[in-house]
Amino acid sequence: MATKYPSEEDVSKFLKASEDLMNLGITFSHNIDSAFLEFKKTLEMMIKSNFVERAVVEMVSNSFDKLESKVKSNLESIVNICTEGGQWYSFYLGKAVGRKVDLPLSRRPQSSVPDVAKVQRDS
Amino acid sequence: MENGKLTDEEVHKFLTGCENLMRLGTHFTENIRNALGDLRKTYDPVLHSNYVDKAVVELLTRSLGDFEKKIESNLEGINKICTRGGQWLVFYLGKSLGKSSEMPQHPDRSFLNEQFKPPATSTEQVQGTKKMRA
Repeated sequence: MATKYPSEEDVSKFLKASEDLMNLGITFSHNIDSAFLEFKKTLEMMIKSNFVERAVVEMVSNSFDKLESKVKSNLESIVNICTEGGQWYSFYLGKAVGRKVDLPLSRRPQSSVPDVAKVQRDS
Repeated sequence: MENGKLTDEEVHKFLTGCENLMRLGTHFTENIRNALGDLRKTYDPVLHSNYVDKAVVELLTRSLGDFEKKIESNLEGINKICTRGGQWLVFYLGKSLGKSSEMPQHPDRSFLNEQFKPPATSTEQVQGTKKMRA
């Protein structure tokens, strides 16, 4: 990489690295999901027991439901960024160095990256 | 792009899109952190009250603590990908296009593929990424 343009080998390595990076993001998201389910299991057992007063069970449950919905929607979005965003990145990097790369849009008719999709349509 | 080449405008749009996407990722992690904070606000008073048996308080406190630690460490990982990782992605796309790109401010590449060895910064290639997009 001493020259201005990266070598084929460097590009391959970087494409692999960026793919690994996105996979790492997905793994982190799955870890959060697993931790969440683990905590949910413990909490549900406690709520169903007689060790928690009925008066607070509803409050605790509502609070947890709110957390669940927020965590799920945000995790879903993070996974989308890592999968679709990563594919678009590989596509553009591949294009930039003149490689034939599959268009992610062909696999997903509705892209979640509108700006990129627009670039595609405009071209 | 029909002939396989990217125009400057396309590159600019893509880099902006990439930056926005990474910013969005950081925003999503922040939302999860805030949601966890909200849960704490409800759970702490409950755990300190007399409405929950002491044995359960201990168990729930420990369980919640473990849960928070796991969430925090994984969110931190996602954040690094979105901030530092995102900067490297932009840097290498610029390099691939033969444009002068500035090395990311955080030279921590530990989260990138081990076999990948980015170049040392040379004086001729150091120009702002923003300039590159201009």
